[in-house]
Amino acid sequence: MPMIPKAIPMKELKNYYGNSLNYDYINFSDYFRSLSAEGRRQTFVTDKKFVGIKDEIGGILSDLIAEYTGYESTSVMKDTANDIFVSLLYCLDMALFTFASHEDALEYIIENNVDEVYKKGQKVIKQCVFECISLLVKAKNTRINYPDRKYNSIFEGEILSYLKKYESKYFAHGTKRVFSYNSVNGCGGYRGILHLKRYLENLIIENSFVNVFDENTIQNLCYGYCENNDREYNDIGANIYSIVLMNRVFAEMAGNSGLEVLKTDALKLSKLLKKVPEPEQRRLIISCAENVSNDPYVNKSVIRLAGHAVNALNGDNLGNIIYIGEIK
Amino acid sequence: MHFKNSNDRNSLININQIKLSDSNALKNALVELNGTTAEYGLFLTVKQINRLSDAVGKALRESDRIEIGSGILPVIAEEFCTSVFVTRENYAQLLEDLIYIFFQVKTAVCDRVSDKDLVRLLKDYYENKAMGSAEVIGERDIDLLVKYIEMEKGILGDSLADAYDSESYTDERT
Repeated sequence: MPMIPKAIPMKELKNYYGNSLNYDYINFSDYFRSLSAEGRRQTFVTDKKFVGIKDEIGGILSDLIAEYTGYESTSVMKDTANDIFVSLLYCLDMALFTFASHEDALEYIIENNVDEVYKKGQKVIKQCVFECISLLVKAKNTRINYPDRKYNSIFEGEILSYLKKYESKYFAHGTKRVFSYNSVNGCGGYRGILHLKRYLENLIIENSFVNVFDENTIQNLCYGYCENNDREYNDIGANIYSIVLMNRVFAEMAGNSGLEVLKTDALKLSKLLKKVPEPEQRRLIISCAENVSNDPYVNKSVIRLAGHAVNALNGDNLGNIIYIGEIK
Repeated sequence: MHFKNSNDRNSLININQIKLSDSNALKNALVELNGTTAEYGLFLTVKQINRLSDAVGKALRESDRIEIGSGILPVIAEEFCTSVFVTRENYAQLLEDLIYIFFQVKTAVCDRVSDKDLVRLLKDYYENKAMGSAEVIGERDIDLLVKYIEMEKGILGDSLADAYDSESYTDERT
């Protein structure tokens, strides 16, 4: 078994076979477990240490279960125990996410007992909750001034209530919370508080993009979209940023500098785009979006939305994804 | 040793590999308890203790539960040793029967009753309703025992409401 000198960073180490960590075996959504398992495969984590890790996890889990029952029960349902176990692992993952490399994270596992990793994870989770609170304030401050019920409900209690109920000990991983209003880009498969953090970051970017345009223009565009799609003004039924973004992209394609896509523009664009196959249509939309913004988030959104746009275009339903008409 | 299979799930730490209940602690607790129960003429042999330890594991698996530390059996033994229905001959078998009943009932009341209260009410039922027959409880009276405990703990309404909901659900489906 190779010795691991502390003075040498682990990234420079090779195991007995000359191998280092195989990143393909490391999974961010199950970080502690996959990293320690890979560390064991490559013999950086000794069998003795691995058994020790399991025992220490057992100790922490027992304490958490006892605490969960208010010290009134010596047993719980397997599902409950499993939830607490997954929550514990999530907390360990959070501690390891603070390291710059897999090697540094593995070194931390090897040199510390699990209890220390767990305590660090709890601190990181608390820090993340505070970050979410400031992100929520920022998201509220950049809020789009449009009376959509679902959009506004997330700021008027939905997120705060999630934060208040967030259980960092027994259910830190949460289930992926679905809010009434979705951001266009996903939350990267994150769970628990990290999912909320990513969601809020997404919202801030979306709000900021929309807020570049005149407030009245945005309101009139949204009202027009609702009217065209036979929807109540306060129930737009789509992501506001997605409508604004795609209006901007199609306006750009039509040679307009703002958000306006007139009926004549839509017909012209539709006729032109229909001449080329669907992948080409998608490519044209995406490349046109590069003139609109060079923000990676915006570009990613367009890639996600281009498919819908192509479907709408070919089904003569472009009005489902953008507002077609004069913006008063 | 190098595992080539990236999907080797066994290499990941999972809850089934983690030792939460401590059978040695359970055995030690039962041995220690012999000192107390001896004054009632009750005693468990090493063989009986080993058998009871195995029974706890089996009962946990059957009821889909996980236990921590030395578990509930020493608490049950301590409570029941004072019962007039317990004799040296039926003591070990009674504990084995009770451990199955305990976990079944604990799950049936959705963990809303503490261990201490559940053991107390179980003993009460055993002495006053089942007239000292754990077999009767296990084979016939589990539902009645659950209702009895829920009524005593004032949580009966919840389970009736649940039953009503599930009946309505069945009706709707049919």
